[in-house]
Amino acid sequence: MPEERTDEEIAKMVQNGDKEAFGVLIERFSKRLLRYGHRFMGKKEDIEDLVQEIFIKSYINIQSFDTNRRFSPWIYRIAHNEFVNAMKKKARYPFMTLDFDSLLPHLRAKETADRDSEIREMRTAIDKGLDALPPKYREPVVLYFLEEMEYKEIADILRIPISTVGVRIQRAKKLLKEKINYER
Amino acid sequence: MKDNTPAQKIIEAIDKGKVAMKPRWHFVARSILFGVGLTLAIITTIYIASFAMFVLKQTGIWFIPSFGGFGWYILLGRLPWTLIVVSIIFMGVVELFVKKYTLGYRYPLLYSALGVIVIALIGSSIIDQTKIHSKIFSFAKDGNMPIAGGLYKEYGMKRPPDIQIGTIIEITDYGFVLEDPRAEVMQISTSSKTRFPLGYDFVIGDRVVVFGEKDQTSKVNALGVKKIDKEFGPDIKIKMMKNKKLIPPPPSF
Repeated sequence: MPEERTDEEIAKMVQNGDKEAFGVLIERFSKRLLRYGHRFMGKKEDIEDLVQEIFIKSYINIQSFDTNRRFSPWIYRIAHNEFVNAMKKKARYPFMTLDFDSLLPHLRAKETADRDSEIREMRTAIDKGLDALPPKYREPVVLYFLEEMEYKEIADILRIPISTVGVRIQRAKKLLKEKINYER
Repeated sequence: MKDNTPAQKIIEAIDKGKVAMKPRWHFVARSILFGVGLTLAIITTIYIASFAMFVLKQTGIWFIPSFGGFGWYILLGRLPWTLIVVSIIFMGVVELFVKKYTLGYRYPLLYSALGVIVIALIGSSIIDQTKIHSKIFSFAKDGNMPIAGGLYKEYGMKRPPDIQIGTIIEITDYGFVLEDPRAEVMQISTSSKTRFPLGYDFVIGDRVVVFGEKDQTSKVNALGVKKIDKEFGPDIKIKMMKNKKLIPPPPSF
């Protein structure tokens, strides 16, 4: 049964011509990508159409997926591009700008050991203040705290240095905490 | 209502052939093309950087900093900026290719940019050791290079007014006589103020670079003289006084 297999095994089945297996991947990732889209772009957008487009592009390009790697960063990379393109069309995302965060090395902020409690603490802050964050901070925060991805996976999705992921998450946490303290 | 789920809609589109998977060879071919593009960009960068290095040596500018602070000032003014800018542009192209690879984007831009610069410098130093540009320049001078010959002649034959490069053909009481690659003969005068970074043990046939401006009578009051590698400067016949050595006035302190 495909349902018991890993994402990567199912992707391999799709690569070998099993079209129905792609339906399992859609079922598994629909809700996650919708949530990611809503968090990243805001609830006003027509995220469902964009998510459908993400799955179509995933199917078209599935032969480029390396089944020795994890499937979720691969599909999230497609989603990131789709959402960013949609935002650029509406001029809500900065075009090619020099990003000093990616230019210079940073002391790498480590992933927290007690991640579960940090996620619980931050989810409340994210619910209250995510919209106030600039897109470049919003996305790593969503991927780390809500999608529970690792720094390396986030770096692969956003195509930015791993140390920059850490810096952006730290800065976003600070901004979110400041916002919450201000509202109190 | 299961038929209306997004999954069903997409599977239906796939079944009807409205959505088709790109074949694996498409991605393999794209990766190969990408690798070829990266390789070509690296080779071009190294070629241009090594050509710039060759031009600096061929014109004598490379050796000028050894004559002190003023030499560095002259160097900055005489650098082949067009070649340097073109090689920086190609380094940028390499960087754009590198950023598509995991190793390229996972680490800060500074690291990958430094990596590209180091590769360009090491590569051009290796090319410099092969003397390939000197050989091409010789072909170009003889008119045997129809394509890049003009470029080599334009850059390689340039002579800055205050840098003379050539072979000693005669040792005189006041200095020596120098013949440059265009067979122009110059009277070089040395004095206690002349700098000799590698000593002043010159003999006829030595290739040297002279720092000093040439006047209308082809005389040069040398501010500095330095022996250089055999492959630089003109390959001309040694005329006379083969074993006579240059003994300049003692340096003043």
